[in-house]
Amino acid sequence: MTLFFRPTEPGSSTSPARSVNWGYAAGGIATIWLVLLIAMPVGVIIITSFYNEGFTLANYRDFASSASLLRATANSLTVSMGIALLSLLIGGTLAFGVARTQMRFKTLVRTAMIIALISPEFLLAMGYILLAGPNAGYFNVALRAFFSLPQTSGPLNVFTLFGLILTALPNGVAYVFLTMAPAFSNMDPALEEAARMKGATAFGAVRDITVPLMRPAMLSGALLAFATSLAMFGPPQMLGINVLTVAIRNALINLDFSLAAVAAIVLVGLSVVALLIQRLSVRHGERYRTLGGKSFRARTIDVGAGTHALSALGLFYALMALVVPYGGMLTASLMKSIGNGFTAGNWTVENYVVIFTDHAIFRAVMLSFSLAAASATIVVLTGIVVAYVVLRTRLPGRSILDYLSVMPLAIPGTALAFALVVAYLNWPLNLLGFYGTPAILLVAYLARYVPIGVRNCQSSLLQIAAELEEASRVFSAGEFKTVWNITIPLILPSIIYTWILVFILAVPELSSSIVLRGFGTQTVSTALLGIWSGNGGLAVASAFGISLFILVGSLFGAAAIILKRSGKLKGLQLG
Amino acid sequence: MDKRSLFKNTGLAFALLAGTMAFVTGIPARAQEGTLKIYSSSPDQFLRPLIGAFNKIHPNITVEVSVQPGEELVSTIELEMRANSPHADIALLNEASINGLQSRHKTWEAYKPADFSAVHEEVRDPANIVIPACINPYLIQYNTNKVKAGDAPKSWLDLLDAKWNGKIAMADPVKSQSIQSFIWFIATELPKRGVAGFGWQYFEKLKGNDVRLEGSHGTIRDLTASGERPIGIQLLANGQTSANRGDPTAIVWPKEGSPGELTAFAMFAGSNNKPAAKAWLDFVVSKEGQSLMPNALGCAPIRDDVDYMFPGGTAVADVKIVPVNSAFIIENRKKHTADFNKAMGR
Repeated sequence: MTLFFRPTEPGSSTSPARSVNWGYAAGGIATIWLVLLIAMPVGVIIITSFYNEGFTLANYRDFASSASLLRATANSLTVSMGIALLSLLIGGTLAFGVARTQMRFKTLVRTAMIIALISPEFLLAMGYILLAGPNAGYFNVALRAFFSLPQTSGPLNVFTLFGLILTALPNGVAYVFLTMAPAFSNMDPALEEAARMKGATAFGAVRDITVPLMRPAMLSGALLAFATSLAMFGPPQMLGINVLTVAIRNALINLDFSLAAVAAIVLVGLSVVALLIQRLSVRHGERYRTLGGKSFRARTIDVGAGTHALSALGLFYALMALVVPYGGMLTASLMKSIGNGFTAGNWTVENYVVIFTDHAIFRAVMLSFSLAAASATIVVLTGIVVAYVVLRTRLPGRSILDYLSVMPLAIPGTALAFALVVAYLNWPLNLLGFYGTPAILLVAYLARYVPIGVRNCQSSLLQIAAELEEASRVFSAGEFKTVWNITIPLILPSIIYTWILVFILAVPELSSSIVLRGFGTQTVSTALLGIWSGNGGLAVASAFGISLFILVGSLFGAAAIILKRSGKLKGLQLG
Repeated sequence: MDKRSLFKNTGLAFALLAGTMAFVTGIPARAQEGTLKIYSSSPDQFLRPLIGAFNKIHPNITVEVSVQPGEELVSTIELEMRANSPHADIALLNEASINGLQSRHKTWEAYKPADFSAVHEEVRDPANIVIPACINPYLIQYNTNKVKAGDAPKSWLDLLDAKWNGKIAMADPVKSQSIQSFIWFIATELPKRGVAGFGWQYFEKLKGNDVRLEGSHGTIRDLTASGERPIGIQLLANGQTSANRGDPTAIVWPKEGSPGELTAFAMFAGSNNKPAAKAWLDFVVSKEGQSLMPNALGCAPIRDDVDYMFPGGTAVADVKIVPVNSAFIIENRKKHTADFNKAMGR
């Protein structure tokens, strides 16, 4: 580092040459890092999709002629669009209710949203399978008994496309809610009042004024719900639904890399198309500005009887996203044999004893925590460097670096992990010996979460006027000293926020881990899926799921306390 | 030779002798130490009783187990072999998978366990690559709360009855290695024996009964036990462990017979702890290890001198077990899976 930060004479400013050196160094490091982490795996997927003992389009032809893969594509699209639309409907309505009306249970709704967001999707899927399995699901058994239905199956069936949509819906709703609630809060009510003065009803003002202005937030939330649904692996795998992520995994099991690559390309393509549609839809940003120079006070709207409907919807969401699935799982976790049901003598805490005494589970938990801590730290450091290069230097090609850093947003974890398998099994990266070790998991996690680090650090850095750093230089500080003493302390809350967010997301990561698992690379999520898939049974899996939920929830609670103090949890308050 | 050189040579001889003794005595010490890594297609809870008994004999060997559904495990090992970097010392798979990996990568190293002569001759591998652990036949498992004993299916053909629509689960050959044995039996072996109603059309009809395909037999065991899929096309291992766990399940030996695959261990040629791996293989075929098999891996022992009855008190002689043609399965695995997928309309 001394190469770039030589001490300067008092009163003299840092020479431009030295700044350029530092900027180039940071740019060089960031470029090499992002190429290794992101560009190379993406390149591997593209090349593999066109390769089969030479350049060919046969892999694409095979994909197009496979009824199973086309169905997987159609299923992926149906499920993702279904989740996005329903999430928009429910999440948008609840965001409006919480931000702009006098609906009840606002705290409960906010809490349920946060819990849904931090709940791994496969945990919710476990809960819903126990409840809505057509033959023995607790809901179905109760419904058949209550209504004296003669049938032995149904009426609900979680093992369907619609079941998958409902299973993943709480997460999608949470994404939309957390995107739209701040947007609703930031809207000047004078716009709606003007409409009312012109004779519009409350509903009409919301329809004609509020909803159109919310379009960017709506599209962002829906896109997030769409992209995360497209990338999910656990719920479709558990429900036995043929989607693209499952197809990639199955192709890999059969060592059919070409087919896996094409499926990955299709999956990434769908994400990119959705991203482009969203960008195009909001390209005239000035149309959606709701915050001007004049201050305003957020006011609620009286929506009459709609208030009760919103309260009921909020309560229903909290029940479905939180109480019902985790309640089902908690019940199952306390049974000796799920088949013996709610009978005396069938209750036990032995499943929790198994969880807390099993060495393999302990190792998996330790590995997940180590990986999450390492990922969070490196993601934050990468985020700072890339954000600095993009926003504070004039390096040529820095916008490419910016795009490169956010590219993984469009790459599902399964596809990324597949690319790493291919890359690290072949020369020259096979020389590193990463394949089959925790190192390859770390690479996967870093690639997945780098966009979070870069985006958070960029948004924080944008809020800091460059004059502050310039003032530091005027007072003789070098670049490094300026960054260390001025920039870092100012963006510290964002750094902490990013670290905790990445940590919490990485602990239960599944879609990459499942592809890369082997000896010594079992994480909490793959261990849990293994237990659910027979290596322990449903009751032990439920105990593990509840324990994991409490663990992740506690971590988030701790994070919330820290962030509340630093004021960085805007829109995400617990309680 | 002068005195000085005599002392010098004697000293050297003593040093060599001491070194040799230390080396020789050090071998058994090393054999009882370190970590033994087992890749397993069976749940690690099945291995716990075996590990417990093994550790009584070898207390300084730490046994670690990594579990994946069979076909996924084969794929993991395949990739590790491509990277020339096996991460375990031994693996628990079926005979076909072990032989398949050997033919492609020379994955395993031969080892003839101690007391191997007491093992049934017909399950001994002449090449000493496949070290048999137990015999694991297919059967029908059902939930006794949902299906009355008198009403339970008695044959594989009974599963095609419309009354079981939406009630049956079986393993998916995309993820499970063992189900290949069942597919071979239904699609190839029974038609070859002239038994009517079998062949690929059997699976087409099973698809018509909305059979559910699962990644592992352990999942099927749990779905059957919970009543979610009250009937499972199952391996003995899960039928037996389900009974041991107190689940409300029972088993049926179908009248057409049961394909019985060999569940076996094999030692990686690149194992980092071969002394421990060999000690494990010795233990597995030992009388003590074999007597634990029904309660551990849940399948039938392979020694002549270990008494065994199937769950429910059925004598081994009363069950028609058909030895699986693993060579045929190795050769036809991909085609089998493709034909099965076609029959299942996917």
